Amino acid sequence: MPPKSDIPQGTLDLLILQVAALGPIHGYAIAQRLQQVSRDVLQVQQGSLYPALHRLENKGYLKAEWKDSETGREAKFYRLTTKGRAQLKHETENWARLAEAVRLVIQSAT
Amino acid sequence: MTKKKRERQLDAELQFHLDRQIADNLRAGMPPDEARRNARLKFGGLEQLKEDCRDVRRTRWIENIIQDVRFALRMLRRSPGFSLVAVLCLALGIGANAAIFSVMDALMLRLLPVEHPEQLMLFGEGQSVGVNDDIPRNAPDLFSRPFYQDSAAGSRCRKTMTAISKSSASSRTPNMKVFAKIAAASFSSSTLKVKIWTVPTISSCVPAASRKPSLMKSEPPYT
Repeated sequence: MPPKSDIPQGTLDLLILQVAALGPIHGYAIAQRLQQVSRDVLQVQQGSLYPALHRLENKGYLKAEWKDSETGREAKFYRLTTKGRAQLKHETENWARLAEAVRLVIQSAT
Repeated sequence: MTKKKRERQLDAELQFHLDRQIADNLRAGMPPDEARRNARLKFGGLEQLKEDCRDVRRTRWIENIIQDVRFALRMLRRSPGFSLVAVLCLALGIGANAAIFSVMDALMLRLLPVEHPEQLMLFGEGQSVGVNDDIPRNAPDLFSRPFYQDSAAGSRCRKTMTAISKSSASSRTPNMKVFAKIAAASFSSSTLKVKIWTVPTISSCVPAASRKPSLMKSEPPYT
């Protein structure tokens, strides 16, 4: 198993929006999917996941609705809004720029 | 959404997560106690987590106001004609209000700029002589300027004696007109030159033998 990493500050919103872009999803499944897709590298803490979800909902990037989950129990599902999609694009570009910049700096040092 | 409902939903949402985690732990082969403990541990402080979720909404409230203000400013900039009219309306409204209030303030609210305004008395003849609650509106009594000057200079209470007159011409016209409007006394000298006869305690100014107010009769006005 690879070592686990904390999610860098500020990228949690981007990750959540990206996962929600695939379709309505509840909080637990977001945490699971982030962990799976990143091959267990990214561990999202509930303590930061839920406040982030509520913040994104408040900003209008996510829309929440209560639906039956796959187990039959009602759960709060988050869906990406149009505004959220624009924000996701914006944050993805930001992240790419930042990652590229960090890569350049590291390369120049070696 | 009401606060209660929001709280219920927050509870339900977190409980769902917790239960799913426990179920997954059980499926992974943990004993029930361990499964529950592990799920709780991952959650961290539940109350702290809830508080963080509530905080998000609270701070949002402030951000909303800032956003609204920005939006309003942007809209105002976009239609300068409308903004100008709106600002003018407000300015006129506030200005008129302030002007009227300052008049009312001087007329009705503020006390006269003398030491004991409640002891003010008018000199003169007629019904209203000696009253100190209101200055009569219709019957101004006239005293000559020299008379005033003499009485003020010789009086035991000259410090407390003053006169009102209506016009800025009072220095040329020797007549002192007792002006009928009390508020006029606090107008600035540039608008209305106003002085008022005042004697805080009439007994201290007038010889005991003749304490009747009619002592001070109007003198024939100089012409």
